[in-house]
Amino acid sequence: MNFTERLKDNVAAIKKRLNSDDIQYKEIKIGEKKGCIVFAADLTDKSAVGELIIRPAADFCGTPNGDNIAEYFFSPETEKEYSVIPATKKIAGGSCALLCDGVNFALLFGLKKFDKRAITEPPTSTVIKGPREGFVESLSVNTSLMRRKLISPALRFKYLSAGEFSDTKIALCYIDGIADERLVNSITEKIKKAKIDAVLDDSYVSKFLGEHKASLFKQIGNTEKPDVLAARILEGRVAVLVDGSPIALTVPYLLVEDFQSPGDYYSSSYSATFARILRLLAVIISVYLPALYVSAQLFHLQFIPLSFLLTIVNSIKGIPLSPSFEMFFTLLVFEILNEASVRMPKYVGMVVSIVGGLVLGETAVNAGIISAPALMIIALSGICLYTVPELEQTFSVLRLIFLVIGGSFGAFGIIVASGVLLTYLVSFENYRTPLLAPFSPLIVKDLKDGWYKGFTVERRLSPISLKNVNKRRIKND
Amino acid sequence: MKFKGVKIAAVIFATVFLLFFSNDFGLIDIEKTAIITAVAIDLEQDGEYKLTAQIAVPEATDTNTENLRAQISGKGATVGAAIKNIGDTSGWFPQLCFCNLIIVGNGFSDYNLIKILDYFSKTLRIQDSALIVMAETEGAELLKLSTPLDNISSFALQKILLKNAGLNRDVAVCDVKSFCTGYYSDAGSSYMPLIKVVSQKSENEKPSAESVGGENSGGENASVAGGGSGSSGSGGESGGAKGDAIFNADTTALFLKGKKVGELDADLTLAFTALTGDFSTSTFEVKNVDLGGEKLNYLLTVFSCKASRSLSVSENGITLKVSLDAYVKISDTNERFSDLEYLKNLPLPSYVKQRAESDFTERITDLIRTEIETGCDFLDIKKELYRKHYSYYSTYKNNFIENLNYSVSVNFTGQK
Amino acid sequence: MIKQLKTRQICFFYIAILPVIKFFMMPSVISGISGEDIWISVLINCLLDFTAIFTVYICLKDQDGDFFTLTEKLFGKAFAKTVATIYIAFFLLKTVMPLNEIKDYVEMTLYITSPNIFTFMPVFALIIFVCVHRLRVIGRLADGVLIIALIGYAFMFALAIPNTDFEALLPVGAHGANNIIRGAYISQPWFNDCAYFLFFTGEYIKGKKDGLKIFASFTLSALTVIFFCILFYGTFTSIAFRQRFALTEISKYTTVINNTERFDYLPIFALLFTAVFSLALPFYFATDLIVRFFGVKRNLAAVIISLPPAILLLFFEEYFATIETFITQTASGFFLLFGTVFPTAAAIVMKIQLVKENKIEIQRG
Repeated sequence: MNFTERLKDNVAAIKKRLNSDDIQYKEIKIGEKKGCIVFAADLTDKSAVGELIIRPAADFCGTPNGDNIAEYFFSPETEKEYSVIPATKKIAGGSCALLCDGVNFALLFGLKKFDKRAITEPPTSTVIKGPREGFVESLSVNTSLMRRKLISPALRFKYLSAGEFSDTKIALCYIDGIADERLVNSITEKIKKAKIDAVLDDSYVSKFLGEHKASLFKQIGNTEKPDVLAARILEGRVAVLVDGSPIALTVPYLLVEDFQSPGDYYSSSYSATFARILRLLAVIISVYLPALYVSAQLFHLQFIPLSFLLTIVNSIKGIPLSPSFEMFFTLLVFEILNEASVRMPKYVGMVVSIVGGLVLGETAVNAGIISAPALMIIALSGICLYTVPELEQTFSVLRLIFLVIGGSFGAFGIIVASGVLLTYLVSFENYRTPLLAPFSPLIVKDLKDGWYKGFTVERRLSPISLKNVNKRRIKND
Repeated sequence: MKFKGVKIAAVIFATVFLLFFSNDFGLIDIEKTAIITAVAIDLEQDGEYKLTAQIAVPEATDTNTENLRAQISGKGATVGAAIKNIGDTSGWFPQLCFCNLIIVGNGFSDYNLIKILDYFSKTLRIQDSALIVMAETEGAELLKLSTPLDNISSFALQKILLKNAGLNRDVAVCDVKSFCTGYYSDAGSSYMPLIKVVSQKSENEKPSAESVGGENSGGENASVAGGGSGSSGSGGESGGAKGDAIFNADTTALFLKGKKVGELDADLTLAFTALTGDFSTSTFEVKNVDLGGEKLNYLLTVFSCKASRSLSVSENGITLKVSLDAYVKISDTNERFSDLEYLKNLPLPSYVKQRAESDFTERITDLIRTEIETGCDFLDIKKELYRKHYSYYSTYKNNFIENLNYSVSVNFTGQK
Repeated sequence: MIKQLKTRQICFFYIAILPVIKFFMMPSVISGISGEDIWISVLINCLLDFTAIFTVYICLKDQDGDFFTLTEKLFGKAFAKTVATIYIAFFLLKTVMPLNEIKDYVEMTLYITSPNIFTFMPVFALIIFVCVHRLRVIGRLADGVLIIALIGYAFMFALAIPNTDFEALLPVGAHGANNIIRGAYISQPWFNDCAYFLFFTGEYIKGKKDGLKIFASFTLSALTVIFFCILFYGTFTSIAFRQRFALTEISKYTTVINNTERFDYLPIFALLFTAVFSLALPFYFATDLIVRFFGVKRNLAAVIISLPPAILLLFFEEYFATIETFITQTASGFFLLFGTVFPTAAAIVMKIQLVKENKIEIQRG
């Protein structure tokens, strides 16, 4: 439906669609004709409305028409909208619409203004060394942060929107000449085709960007830090920034990138390599230790050193649960505590840790419900998993799967399950990029930023694992 | 993965989950498992085997970290049957994977040992790296002994065997695999340490096994002994006092075709290990060196050693050349050296060197004589003949001992 | 035509995945016949494999498509189908010994409290899962498994070497040519690795010195197996033939193990992990042939191929000794024929045919 030259009809048409108390309709006079401004009271900058629309309207001389009105009103963001529905969407999104009798379009002013959260260090990726700023929920702030990081004309933002009701603004961010154009197009297509009522967070977008809908593994990378995002798009990835989310998504995703902490790039190569290997070992311990412990107790006593076996037998005396059930129960309690500590209000968080750590743990051991080694193993496993917080959920599920397999089939079952997992992971591709690259398929040149973190000057090429266009990172002298 | 795949995976996972919670599979509960640390085998009058298993019983408390031990015996016509008998009568499931010591009782002196040891080499449920020793008494006696070395007597015995294997080299350590390898070789020869019990109270007062543990509940007979201040089982020791028995393993029993044919005393065992293993870090004594009428004693430490046995074979016979070159230092002596000599790291005086060399030459010569007398080819002459002089093997394989000539050369050098 | 593999992956495949399957019963079986000449029997088999791989590589290196595609192209669909059927049988037979020996190994050495057939059966889940993927995944698995296998080899060898009596391999040839050749003959089911190469030729991205890389990796693989057999015989000498499961046996006699208990299970697990992929290979290639020549869907083909060995394992366990005798003695000739002789001869014939066709095309202008 299009606007007509009758102001009354145009206002009625908008009112029909935006019949909400927070939408203000203010009649004004524009020269010799009547006009009306429509805006969302809590979302639009009222002083700017007064300065840029109401005052100039009062000063208007002559008869406004379709030709002169757009030129008269001066604002950095103005556009003509002939159609009612898009105009209402934009008003709901914070724009101010100016309607004038005898003019068959609405003049829309981008005067959105609302309170934003300050730029702070993201709680999920704190660093000892390195930039501490993190993304916020405002897309414009996030894009500005990126522009500040990469002052290059090659930095591109491509705006899209998704969500039938939310009409959330989404920005693709990439570097022209490095990112593969096909990848950008593919992501654009996916977002455009997405049928969803609302996009309330980046996770909604990541669901329809992933090519394996039911996969346990992450398919889309994410970060809350502009410096990390800048580094990733410099390697040829495409970032997806979603309005309302402080997390930027990156595509394609490699499993190894979650083992790489931002701090690795700001510390020495040696300590970063050590830290990465430590993270890998911690994850392996975390996933396998409970399963191996249970399977050793049930099927393979010979794996346990005799002195430790005697300790175990000592500690499990009188415990009513079978080894597998005991470990499952302990893991369950741990996961409940974990979940509770995340959800509980901060002021009772301390209570949870005291109750969880001391009361439940120690008393359960003393009461003979669970054994001390089982508790120790779950605690160690739980702590280990947080060395790679991004994959905590994935590996928690894997830990449970391995525990069940270990308790049912023993160590050989664990070996077979690991084989299935490896086969799955090596066959897993997202946007033509293998998840396990650069290890499988082996890309030797990319190993400089795998478990081993090479010296920055050594990394002259962007990762070959990613399908980027320009591989040269640093020019030769 | 498609959603159909997820459904299949969910069904599989649910099934496995069910298995996980109901898992029994006839599993043996860890608490019902008898963790056997050592077994002793004795020959009964009726020709059956009596197998005594030493079981580690976890009984540690906050104040006492030591575990108890228990002995359970079973009888059977075969070793396997005797082990099964232990399970049948005790309710425990005998678990042999931690069994690192097999003691053979003295009743097997005239018996082909492979009949019992073959079980341990065949089954995969026991380590064939388990050590084997022969007891001077009944095998079960050794297990029942209480020693100050460890709460569990088999651990004490293993300590002696392994420590000696690692440092002193005065025990000819043998495991199931080595024994069987020797037995099934063409020479059919093998050896193992002969364990003697020494009481620390006095040489005459030998410790009695009966004084340590009672015999009651359990299989054929059972006893439980506790250590430290912890509670002990019925028939166990009270008060936590440890016994006074220690073990001596420096004698070696020799076997031919599985039967005991002789022994090597402590001196010969040392010479044997010097020739066959790494003699470095070992110590040996040179006693009664006459120096101007004064009898002096020395303890020499070997720092490096090169021992070789070479065989030269011709139509006229086999000649074994044994040579031992070692760099030694005086570790201790009752001779008074001058300060200057101490500063020079104690040189090896010629009288000590000569005496040590002649002692060792004599020991090695005796060793070869023992091989000739017993027919037990513990020096692997036949193996050497087969491997390096195969063309003469058929000529001498049945009479290599009769045609054996030998020469021994020992050279000790000290600090220069 | 999109190439599924890289030369490097073929090399890793030979180094990492193939040797491990020979570490279970094979050394004991050969040592029962060849004694200290075990390494010569293994060497003979490796040389036969090498010759076959070399011939196939030289003859077909410039062609697109693997051996079976070329067979179809040159000799027609019917012939290719017959060859495919024979190779399906070949691979099915090739699964029998490894499946049984790994099952026995797992049940007898790993599960001391409850040896249960169901503890081994999950391996079929992995086999089917591997089978449903494309050849590219086999290449990537080789990449993924390499480091694990190398760690396994390194630990295993390091633990075994101090207790190995290398002189036990003397005198060379004392067991006589007859026994050495018999040792090589009965171990055919574990060799004939050229059969796998038939699927690789023409399916990898060509690069510089491909042949050299492939032959070097195969030689390394062969040396690993020979060295393992040497360590095995040097450890057990006169009782080697009684040691059914070499993999668990050779590492446990070191003093370190005596002091620290059996941490050698770590390399054993690493090698067992590699071995399960090795186990899946004959299934994979049989599935591939069914899919290509009989038009069966890959998922279904994987299940069809896995069923007979699974049934054999579940219901005919008591016949294992008979099956072992059949496979190692009666069927050895079949393995030799279709694992080595036929690929070599066929590759030469194909080359001649291709040269002829090329000449005709040149003459035609």
